[in-house]
Amino acid sequence: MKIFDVLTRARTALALAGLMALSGCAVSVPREAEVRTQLPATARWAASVWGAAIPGQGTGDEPSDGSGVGSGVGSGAAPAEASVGASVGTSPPRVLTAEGAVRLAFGENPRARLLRAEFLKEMAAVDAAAAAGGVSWSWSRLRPEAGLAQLALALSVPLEDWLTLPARRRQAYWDRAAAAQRAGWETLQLEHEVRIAWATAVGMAQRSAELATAAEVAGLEAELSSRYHDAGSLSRADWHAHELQSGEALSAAAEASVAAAIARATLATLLGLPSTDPRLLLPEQLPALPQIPSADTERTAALAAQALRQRLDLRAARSGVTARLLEAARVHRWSKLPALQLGVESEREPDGERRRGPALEGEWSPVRVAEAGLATATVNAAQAQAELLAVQVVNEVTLRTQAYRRAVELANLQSERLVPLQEAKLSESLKRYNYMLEGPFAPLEERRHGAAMAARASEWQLAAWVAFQELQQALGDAP
Amino acid sequence: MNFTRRQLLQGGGLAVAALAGSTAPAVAASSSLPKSAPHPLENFPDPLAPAARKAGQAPVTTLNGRSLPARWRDGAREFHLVAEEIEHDFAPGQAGSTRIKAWGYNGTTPGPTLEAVEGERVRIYLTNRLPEHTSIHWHGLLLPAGMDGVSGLTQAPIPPDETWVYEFELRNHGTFLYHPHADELLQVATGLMGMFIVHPRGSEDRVDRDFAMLLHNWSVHPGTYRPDPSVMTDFNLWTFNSVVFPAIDSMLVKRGERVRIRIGNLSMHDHPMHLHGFRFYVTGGDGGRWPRHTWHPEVTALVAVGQTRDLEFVADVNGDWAFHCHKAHHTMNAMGHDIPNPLGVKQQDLAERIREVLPGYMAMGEHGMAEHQVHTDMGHMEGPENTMPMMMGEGPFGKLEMGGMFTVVKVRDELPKDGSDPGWYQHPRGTQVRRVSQDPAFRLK
Repeated sequence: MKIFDVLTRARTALALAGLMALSGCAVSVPREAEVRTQLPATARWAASVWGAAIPGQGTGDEPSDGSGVGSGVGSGAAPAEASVGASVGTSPPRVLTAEGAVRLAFGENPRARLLRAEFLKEMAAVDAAAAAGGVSWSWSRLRPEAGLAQLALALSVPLEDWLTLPARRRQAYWDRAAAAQRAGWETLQLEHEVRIAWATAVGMAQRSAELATAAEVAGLEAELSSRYHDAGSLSRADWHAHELQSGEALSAAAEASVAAAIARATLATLLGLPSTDPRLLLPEQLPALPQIPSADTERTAALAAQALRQRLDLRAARSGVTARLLEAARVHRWSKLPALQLGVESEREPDGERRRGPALEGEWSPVRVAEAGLATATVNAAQAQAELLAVQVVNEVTLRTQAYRRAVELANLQSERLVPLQEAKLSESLKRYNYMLEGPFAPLEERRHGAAMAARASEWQLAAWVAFQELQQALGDAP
Repeated sequence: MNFTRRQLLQGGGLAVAALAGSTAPAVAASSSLPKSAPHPLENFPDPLAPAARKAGQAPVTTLNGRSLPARWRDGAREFHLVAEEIEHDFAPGQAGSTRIKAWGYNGTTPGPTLEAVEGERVRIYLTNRLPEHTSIHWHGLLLPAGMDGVSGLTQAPIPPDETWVYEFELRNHGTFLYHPHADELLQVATGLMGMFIVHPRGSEDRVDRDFAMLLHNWSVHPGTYRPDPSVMTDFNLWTFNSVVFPAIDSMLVKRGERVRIRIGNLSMHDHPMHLHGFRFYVTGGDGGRWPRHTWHPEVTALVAVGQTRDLEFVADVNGDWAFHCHKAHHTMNAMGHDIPNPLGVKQQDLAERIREVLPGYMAMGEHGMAEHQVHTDMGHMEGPENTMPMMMGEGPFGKLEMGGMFTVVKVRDELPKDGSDPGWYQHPRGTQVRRVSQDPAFRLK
């Protein structure tokens, strides 16, 4: 089943909700228009994930590429790489962008299919619960010792099922909405995971390359030191000290290489590909960081408000609350009445007399009162859970905003300040070596430090990228 | 700026130094003057003739410097010293020279040489334009304790912007020094120092050429512009009168002249001063002139820290004769003192690979350090900011590979009358070393 089907069902639910609204309801629930404003986020998610057009949406608020980010973070410049397409299918291998990785994941990863299947399963369960009331019938044939067999045929319908049908359908509408929102949320999580895995794979590979350079420089230092030792100008101890440094640098490079391989494998797994797949051609370095969000509290509050509006998990929780409210209202209403069955019965007595007529059967149990209490408790729990989630969302947005700002600041400090300073230090060291103010190992050491610093800069850039994704997650936005 | 003929004559080394074109970079009005020009505060309309003339002595030539003008007032020879921050150039006229913010007297480091005659009364005004207090100690002069210039001991420190006066009678003659005795470590390390020459009354020890130089050491870390006073031993600039070779003035002498080289040492190291070509006698120190029977011929004289020595000789052989400190690293400019020796290190192949990760890296020193000057002179090895190459100087036969405490005594039958440098010595035929083989297996038959 395609996402279109899912959305069609959601639209059907909307229509039902409209009908139910016409029938009146004692419980205050969101109006259809409010629900409709919730759908574009899901639709946008679907469009971004599967690249699908959403027929008939026409809300006019489908964002252009990256506008989700834009509304959430600074000027919203989405990562430049996101606009670069990825190679999919049989086209020649091209550098895999984050966007391309997401597309691959939703095309190849069984987890995406699992998400869809679970969503449909949940929707089916909701549909079943909202089905029209059933019809029950019974037939009996009792043979006396003498005379005709006594025949009895009864056909009845549970009155409550039919009478509560509008209410149950209204509840189903909200349950469907909650299910779609949960599915949307889970899918967004998968997308964020993919993007983080992509950034991690690129960043770790970048770091690994820098540390490999550091190891290469350290190796040259060690070789040069052996030449100095051979010429009688460096003690064995000093020579070995350089070799020790070389070994340590090699070790660090090897560890980085393993970490990069793990990151690549993680990404490959998320994409549902073997890590040797030619489509896994990653860029050599992470793109420039998105713009840093403003630090003022007003801006953070606006972001939090945005998250409260658009987080699909929070919407799902609120939809669930509405559904539970409707359910509780219905259960309460009916808990004071017996369960009635209305039908017709037809009997043939052993003497051949036939009787036919309507039948009304009632049943009342204290359990029904208890069910009402359970429904109320469920509503309370759902409301508390939604409120708790809202608090968590606000705090998470605040935390992620701060974390992202710090990560960007540190990444910029590394790449724009410290790395150039180290390069200047290297340049100065080389000049000092030129004038025999320092030995030949000094500029090599600075070059090695420079590579290590570049590796650290890669780590911070990666951290900023991850923080960016986590902020997007907190905002509930699709990058 | 206009000079009277008298002003021009009184400076001793003024003419030579001015013609050498030595200048100090413009920083402030007081330090933007030519190195040997009078300081604006030395506003003496009618300065005295050089004290050396009064004493019947040859004028003192302070290499790369000058003598301070004086006037006669109220029975005393009056000088005016101004202590202030200046900009100093260690190798005027040399590309890539090292310039610093130094402290000096009357615009220069060392300050101008004071010349007077034994028995005279001197009155020396000191204007303190430094940011901290100062004083002047008259090193070697016999004087009242209250004039000895030891801040806190014999006088209160002279605060900034104030002018104090020292006045005493010159009871002994010889080569002496002057320097602060307040925050002495910093003030001497940054350049406050000078020579005080007291000529004897009589002229029995007259020389034809009288040169003066003050030895000093500096620590100017690469890329910096102020000397580091906290360095104790590992200095990187070694100077005659605060200038390094090849910017140090040559000593120009006519053949047969009697020459005196007055050397003072306010550095933190002893210096074995070596003269090529002549035997000299050490005729005096900061204790005064030595009895003649103590003189003995030398070619190297150790000038210890805080000492002065007068070397005298007759320049009876023409030529360009080196005069330098014999500590080899004192005839170098800034160099690393803790680098592994590259001699014999084969790394040309490795250098190629190093350049792949470190562009610009050059292997050097495998065959010796002389190639360094070739590289730096050609300009394809950039050095740090405000740092001179270790080796400098070009002679008639190639690179001198020197720096620091090195200069040349040029002895000629005739010298240019304008006092200019006569150029390199032209060796008479048959008096110069020559090549006999280019075969490394050469054997005498």
